[in-house]
Amino acid sequence: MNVQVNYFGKIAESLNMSNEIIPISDNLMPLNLRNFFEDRYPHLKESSYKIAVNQEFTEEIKSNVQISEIALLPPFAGG
Amino acid sequence: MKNCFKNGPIKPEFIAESIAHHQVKKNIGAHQIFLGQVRSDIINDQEVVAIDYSAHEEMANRAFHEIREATFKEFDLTCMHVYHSIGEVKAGEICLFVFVSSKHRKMVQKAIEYLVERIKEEVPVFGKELLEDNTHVWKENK
Repeated sequence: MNVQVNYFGKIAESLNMSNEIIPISDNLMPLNLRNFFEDRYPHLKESSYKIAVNQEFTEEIKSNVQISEIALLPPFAGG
Repeated sequence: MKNCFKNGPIKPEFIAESIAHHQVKKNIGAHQIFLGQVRSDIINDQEVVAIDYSAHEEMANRAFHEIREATFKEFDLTCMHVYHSIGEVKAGEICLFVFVSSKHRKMVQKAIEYLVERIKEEVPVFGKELLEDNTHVWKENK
């Protein structure tokens, strides 16, 4: 499936993009997302971030899950 | 879902109007307000001139909503308002406005602390601190 991935703040800056569509094959499931993104972009290993799938924090996706968005969220700075 | 974001700084006039709107609610005996202001820290010998806020707005509004619900459940409040800036806010300007009201002071004092701590920890808002030499650093809540 093709998954919409959104990057924010410092992560978006380091990747030089705020979103992309990534094909994720079903035979990768269950998939550890942190490993997946750090294989794709090794410099992320040095970064601190949370992962959200469909706006819920998680580290893993399983098969048969409809994914409308994966988000990589760097440390929060609200207030 | 309610949009808690306001473009740019939160104006003192807006805060004053919010207070005025509550004068008709005569069961209220205590208001508590928290205002977050952009501080001009010195970073790498450079002064912070502004913070450019961005957010995962949908997730952030959901988080604000959940925090509001939890606060209403936990404390006996009459009303509660939360506004956060998005976009650029200059040093000295207001970026967060939290306003709670209740019958008595103890309730609002506890509620505001609970609210502000949860907002800082749980709402996906990101802050780019713009320095006077046109470089920037990314802020992180401690």
